[in-house]
Amino acid sequence: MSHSRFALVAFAVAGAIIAASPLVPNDYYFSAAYTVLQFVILATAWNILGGYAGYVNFGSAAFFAVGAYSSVFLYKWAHPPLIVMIVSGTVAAGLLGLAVGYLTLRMRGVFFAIATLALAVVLYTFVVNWDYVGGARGAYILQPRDLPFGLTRYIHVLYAAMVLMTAFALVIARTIETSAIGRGLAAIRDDELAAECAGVPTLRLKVLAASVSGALMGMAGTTFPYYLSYVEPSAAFNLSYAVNSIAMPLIGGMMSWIGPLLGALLLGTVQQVVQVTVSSEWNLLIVGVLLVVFVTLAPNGIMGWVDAWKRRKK
Amino acid sequence: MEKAQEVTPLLQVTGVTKRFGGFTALDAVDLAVAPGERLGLIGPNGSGKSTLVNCIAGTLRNDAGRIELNGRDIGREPAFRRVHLGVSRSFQIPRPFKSMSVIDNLRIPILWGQTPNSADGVSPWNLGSDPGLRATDEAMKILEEIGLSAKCDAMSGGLTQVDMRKLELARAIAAKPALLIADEAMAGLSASEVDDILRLLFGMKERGVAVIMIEHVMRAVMKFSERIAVLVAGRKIADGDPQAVVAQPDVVTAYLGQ
Amino acid sequence: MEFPTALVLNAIIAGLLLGGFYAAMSVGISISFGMLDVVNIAHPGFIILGSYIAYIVSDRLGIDPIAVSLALSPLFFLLGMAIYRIYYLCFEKRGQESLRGLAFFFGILFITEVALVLVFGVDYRSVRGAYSETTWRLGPMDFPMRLVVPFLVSIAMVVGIELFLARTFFGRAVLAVAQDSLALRLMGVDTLRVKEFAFALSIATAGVAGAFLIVIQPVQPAIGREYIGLVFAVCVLGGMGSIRGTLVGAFVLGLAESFTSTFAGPSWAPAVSFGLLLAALAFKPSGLFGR
Repeated sequence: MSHSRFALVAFAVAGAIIAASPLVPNDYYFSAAYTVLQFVILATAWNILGGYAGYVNFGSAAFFAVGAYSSVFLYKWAHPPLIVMIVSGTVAAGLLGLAVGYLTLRMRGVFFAIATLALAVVLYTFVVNWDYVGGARGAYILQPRDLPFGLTRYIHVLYAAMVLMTAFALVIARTIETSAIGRGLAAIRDDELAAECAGVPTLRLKVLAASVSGALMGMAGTTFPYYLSYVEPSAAFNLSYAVNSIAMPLIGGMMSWIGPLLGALLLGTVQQVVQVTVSSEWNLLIVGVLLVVFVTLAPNGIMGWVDAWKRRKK
Repeated sequence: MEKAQEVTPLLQVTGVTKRFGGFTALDAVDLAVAPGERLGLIGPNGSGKSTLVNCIAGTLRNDAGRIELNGRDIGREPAFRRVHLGVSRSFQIPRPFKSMSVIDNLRIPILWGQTPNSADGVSPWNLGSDPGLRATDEAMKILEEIGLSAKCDAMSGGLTQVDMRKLELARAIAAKPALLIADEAMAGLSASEVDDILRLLFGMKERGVAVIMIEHVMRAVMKFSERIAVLVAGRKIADGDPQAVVAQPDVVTAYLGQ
Repeated sequence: MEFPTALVLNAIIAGLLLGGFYAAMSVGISISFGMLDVVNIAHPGFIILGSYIAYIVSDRLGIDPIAVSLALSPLFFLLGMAIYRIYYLCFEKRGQESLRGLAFFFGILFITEVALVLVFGVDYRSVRGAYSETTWRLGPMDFPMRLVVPFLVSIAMVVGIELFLARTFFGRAVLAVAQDSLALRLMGVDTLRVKEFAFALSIATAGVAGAFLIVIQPVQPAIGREYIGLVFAVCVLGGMGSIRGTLVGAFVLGLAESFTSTFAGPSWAPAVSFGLLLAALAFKPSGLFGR
């Protein structure tokens, strides 16, 4: 399926999902779906650098927080429409990905991973000390009262935005994956030295992947302040984002765009259930254990099983 | 005896030195390769052959000296750019892209390794084009030449030794180089397998591709080379007509080859 | 303006004392990452685990926490052996170390932190040793015992490890395995055993360092993550795998943090270590693909 046809299908499905909102009786669904879709975007974004190119990013929370806090900043400064906030946050996070990537992707993947951990802590320290966006005390974000398209609750607007952004992220991921750039990234993942000697501009592709990945992770965070109405650093830099953005692609399968989607839908839904019935700490513990179990026993994830099964049938 | 160089050499290595801490791996090495020439590079293990290859290919930076391709200094160019400029190398121990099939392995140098804006003028950065279709014909042609077309969809990680060596060379060839460096492609292969690889390398002549063959399999080197250079302990001690070089006393002493 | 002599002197002292402690925290990384090339980012998690174990036992039995941790270090040693076994079987053997190994250790770090939260909650815990309230004063200089005692034991531990590696047969085997494990295998040495031992040693040092930590400052499960940057920064600054380098790097970091804390405020301290690490990584001279 060509890039444009996939995009058409993706957005058509997104449109249909949004149009079906009035049929949902329970408002809790929108809240839960918002969170799960957030994870879909994060997992898909992470996988562009982690799964396609093989460079592990432990600082997803940093990029997510950049998206969230750029929205907070804009809200306080100029109060622009939501779409402006989304675009700005995405661009800001993308620039961060570009900068960090350019500085650290020229070294071994291990050092890049450690640098991303460092990034999350440094950014957290900055945000905590930045009073304009609330610092450690946090910031209040009021949802607008006038809603477009005659919708009654703001959560519906956020939900719709999230569905569209998810479709966008999936389209971007698949386009990269199935293009020459995606092949180049795969070559880098398999054997970076051999890729470089085959003519692949490894640094450029890695930096590109890091920028796109960062941008999309930031995009996932841009509507978060409106969702919470009150943003403080530990919410934006939540550990759950760091571990989930790795666990979900790992469990779903890191080789293609379907894996993170699958992993996020499955794991995200499970977490919603556990969080409500047990506790958020147990929830995180389960995710951590699943991560370790899968990485040791089933590193290619669910889609890896599917591919192996398909190959055995041939 | 060196051939008179009427044409600008394709590759000109002048005074290249490479040190690793206190150890000098290459000591002011000079080497020239004419367009289309078949050069054999021999020497005992540890004499610096692979280091020289790495310096020419760009995976190592030489500490001193110049490396010129078609008269242009490529010493500062990153390795991938040197591939575009026409230098391609295979690895001593094959490094296939293990998550990919044989044909997908070849798509990489076809898409990324050829001089930008070549033949059909579509850049790999163009997201709109479908790289799959474009590269298939070219890849299959190369696979047929080397005898791997039947295994085009096999996973590259599961190939036999000799097939992996062939794929390794095929990948280097697919980048359409002006200079191909084959680093010990025949090590440990049987006589008929060696002939297979030799045939492949001889085929480069028709393409006008110069070849530097680094080998220990002496009969292959003698058969293949128009000229032989000898490296010992980082220094070039001989360079010229194969028969003459091999008979040189210091070559015989330093390199008690096969 | 009067030069703040007392402030500067005390910043230097605190920096050096902390530096010794940082060396104890990081010596394990120098072994596991610098020598064995295992990216154990869960190392700080084990430090925190050590803190909590020292806390409970010391609290129940009234013994000094550092003494407790030294006594319990064999347990951490065994834990390290077990973890290395799993790591080796699942990753190193299959050549998958980089991506998967990282994710594995990240998972372990994560599980450790969350498990501690489940058991102990997020409140800060601290331990009062017999000397925690005492401070030696020498003119304008303060030597708080809660920093001095861990400092002394840290230095003893780091020097002890350096001597062990340089002087004993097994220690030298560890150094050798870091340099050329194939040669060692050909000489008949069981390199797996050696590496396992070395890794176990690194985890044991983490357990002991945990006790130092909780004597110096209050501890809660999440602070492990803050120290990742620190221990790797020390290792990288110290030249990867050199124990002496680790000491130097640790002192540099200790002084940098101390000065930042004194003159810019303690909330900026984590940014110092990570910032130094980022700078070291970004500007460290390296070959085309790493070391």
